[in-house]
Amino acid sequence: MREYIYLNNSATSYPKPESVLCGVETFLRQTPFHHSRTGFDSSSEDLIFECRKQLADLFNVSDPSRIIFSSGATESLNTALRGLPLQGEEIVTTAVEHNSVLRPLKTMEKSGDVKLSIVDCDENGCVSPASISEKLKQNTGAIVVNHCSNVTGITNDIETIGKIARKKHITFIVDASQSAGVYPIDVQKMNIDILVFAGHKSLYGIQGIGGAYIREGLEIKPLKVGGTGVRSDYLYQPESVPMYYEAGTQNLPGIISLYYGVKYILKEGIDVMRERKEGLVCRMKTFLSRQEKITLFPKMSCADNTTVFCFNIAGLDPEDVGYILENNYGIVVRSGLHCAPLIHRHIGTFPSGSVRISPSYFTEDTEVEIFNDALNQIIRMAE
Amino acid sequence: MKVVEIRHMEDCFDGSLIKEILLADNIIKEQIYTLGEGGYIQYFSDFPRPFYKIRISGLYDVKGIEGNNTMRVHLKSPETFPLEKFINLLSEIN
Repeated sequence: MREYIYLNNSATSYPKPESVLCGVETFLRQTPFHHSRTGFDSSSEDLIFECRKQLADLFNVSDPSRIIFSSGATESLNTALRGLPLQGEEIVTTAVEHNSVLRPLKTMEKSGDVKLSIVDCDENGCVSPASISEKLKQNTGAIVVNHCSNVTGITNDIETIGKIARKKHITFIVDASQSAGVYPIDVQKMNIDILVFAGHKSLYGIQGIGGAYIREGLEIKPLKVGGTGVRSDYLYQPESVPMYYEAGTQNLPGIISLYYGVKYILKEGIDVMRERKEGLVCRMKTFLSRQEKITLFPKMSCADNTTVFCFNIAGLDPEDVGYILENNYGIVVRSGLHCAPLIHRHIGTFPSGSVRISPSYFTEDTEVEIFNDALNQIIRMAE
Repeated sequence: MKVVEIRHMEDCFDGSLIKEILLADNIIKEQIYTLGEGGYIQYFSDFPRPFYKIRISGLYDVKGIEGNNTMRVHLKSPETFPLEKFINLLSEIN
């Protein structure tokens, strides 16, 4: 049994697969060869390429060099939103977005660079493709949609939205921070132009690594320029991908961790891993749904599977519930707005937010029982 | 109640100041009630270790677990009631 029961995997996954920990440690113990200046004695270059290749396989990207690494989803989203030629255009996004999308967009709107249109979601946090379609105008330059809500776990119909975007020649940006490594993603079938992912959540890498897929043909300026380790005589940023977007020292421990994390997912099977989490969530939701004082989000049955959910207890502040769970039971959850402020106005949890539960593939059955027992005590206390 | 260390806490909300306070000794029930005098006290005794929450309207909220040597204070208007005042208040409680 671990010291804490960790049910906050939507923030950062824990524990990591053993192969991730071993891979990073092995890498850090090796001589730090510069990959492009050393021969076959260096193994890190292989893993950088293999990591891109694995991610390309995971997302059905035909050219692995279209996978770029970044510090995380926030940097990738800033690269996309600030780098695309969107000046004077309207951007359509949704109420379920994380602040990693909303804040760059609101900043661009405030400075007069773009106009912003935010599409409402329903009481479960789902956005209908029709409501996005209704917002599109002649000058809509991009659609930005969260694949999976980090609050309710509800997924949006990316394939249908992608068809709408492609038909109207609008750049389609998908935030897959929560869904990468959980749900199948096919950038070709879903007509995704830019897919943003976090490495440290369900891809099992360490914090500080993430990335994006950028479709060939898109004109995106890099967020930063600088050293690349190659073409040092050239005073401008080399325009070949992926290095065009990867100025500065690469986060090799992060990339190595991501390589082993994705390798683990491909070995275990993405469906097997998701179904395990869905089963754990279903057991917790089934128990909580029988409690009169509990309100669940999304407000639907276990048949509508999610890997994340949140709840509130009537008469108790969600922050207090989180505090009690951690300090009295050693159960780590996340309380509050979860950095996604707008969705709470639609699901009925504004302004205090909710208690979010996000188990891992590694969460044990006994840990779910302990969580349910703890909630049972807290609910009785609130009466 | 002697304060050993203060740690800033992050939360989702702006306009407030939240601190985790490490005390030299574990807090006992009498101290909780003394701290809550003049305010609204919730004391949930049914837990293995009771949870308490004190609300001094407009000034601060305090919560913690009886028997722990930490508490969390949420200063509602740090301009009029800064952290120093709260620390002084704690030091006056035996």
